[in-house]
Amino acid sequence: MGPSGSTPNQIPPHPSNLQMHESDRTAIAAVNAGDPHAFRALVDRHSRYAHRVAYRLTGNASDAEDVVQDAFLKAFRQLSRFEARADFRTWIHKITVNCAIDFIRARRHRETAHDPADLERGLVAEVPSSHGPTPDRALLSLEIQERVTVGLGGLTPLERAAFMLRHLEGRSIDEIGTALGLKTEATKNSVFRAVRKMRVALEPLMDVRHD
Amino acid sequence: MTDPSPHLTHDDLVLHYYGEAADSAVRVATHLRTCAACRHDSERLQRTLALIEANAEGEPPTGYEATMWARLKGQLDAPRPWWRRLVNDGPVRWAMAGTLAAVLVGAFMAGWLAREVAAPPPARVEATDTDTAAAVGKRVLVAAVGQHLERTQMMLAEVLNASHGAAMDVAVDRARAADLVATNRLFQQSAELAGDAQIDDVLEELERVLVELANAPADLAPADLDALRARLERGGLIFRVRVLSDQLRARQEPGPLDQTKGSTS
Repeated sequence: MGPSGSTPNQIPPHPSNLQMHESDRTAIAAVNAGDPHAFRALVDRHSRYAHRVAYRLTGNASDAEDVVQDAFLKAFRQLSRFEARADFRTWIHKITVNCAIDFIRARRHRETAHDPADLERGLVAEVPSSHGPTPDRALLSLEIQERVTVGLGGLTPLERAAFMLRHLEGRSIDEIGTALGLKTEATKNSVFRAVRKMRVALEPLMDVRHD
Repeated sequence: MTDPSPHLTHDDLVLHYYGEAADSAVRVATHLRTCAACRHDSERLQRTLALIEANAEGEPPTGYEATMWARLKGQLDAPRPWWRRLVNDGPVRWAMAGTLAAVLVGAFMAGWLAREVAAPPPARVEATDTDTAAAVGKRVLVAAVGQHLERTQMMLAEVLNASHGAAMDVAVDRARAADLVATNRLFQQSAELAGDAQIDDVLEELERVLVELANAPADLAPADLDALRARLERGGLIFRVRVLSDQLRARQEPGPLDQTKGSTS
């Protein structure tokens, strides 16, 4: 990933590289032939990955689980259309993102307006101030993880969704706005606020060497 | 973006990072080459965002796959309703999709005619004796989607051809877009049921644009109008709609059904 127009890691590489796993094909063929239990192989192989995708967007393990369940049900019902497609993981990734967007849109009414400045002040208070940088890589890694988690936890659901769709899914601002039902400026502002909050959360680590 | 400061703003840097600076891309790049302070800030932003990538995933607990399967299994085992078995099994999918499309067309046209008396009547699609139920269904869907695409094209053409740099009153277009969204969604469901990926994909993309227009302010500002135009032009959406519209029209013209022609699915 890099700045200025580069495409973030939209779809992480499949473990078996570009080839769809042979057992995926076998399972898909069995389901399409009338054996719904063969679908378990696909759930076993891809649900953990789908959960990570859903969690990035929803920021909540329980919500992510609901999204994954919905995504796999949709995949099951549309599996007869899948044959010509290249890779099941790519397909389930797309379905999961769309299900997460639907989920986020459905819960938008719970989103409350915040003054970004207040949130930033709150976030600063939430970040443990006693954690100074440490040269130990393991501890540093833990601290990064902790601060990212706290930072993401300080985002509103809409900010998180807009930011993750832009940052990790590589969606354009226009696409995000359409998906989330926001105007372009509102979408940009959601991303701007999210990045600003993450910078506040991670700022103490910026002068630490990560190598 | 109108910050009088000679330095780049946070928002400038974020848009630049994501390649969304568009109008200000040259200004930002030029400034970064010459301003050490902004370059430093930009580098810190890059490092911050890079940290998030590797640490944003929530790892599910051990045994997650079994839990998920337990949640899914009951729903996969549940007997499918008769209409779903009918839809999913065999070539009758097209007939079902066509029937659904016919109902949708009827409902939509009833509403359309009630509002716009001058609107042309829907094209009738008559089956021959040799038609199979599936082919009839497919042809009804093709005809209905073709009409829908032409109607949508006409409306979007007005947006594309509006004066540059001026606001546009889209109050009427908004209402039409809202109507078209509902129809578009139903046709997409029909195409999905029928397994027609080409129609499905175009309608999916079209829906996003229609939703955007339906939710736009009545008096669309020049910048928003330009953004909408850019969206229509990006990815060749209008071109794809025209091509599909032409293809659907061509598929309706011959008397015999297109059973021997390649399907779009």
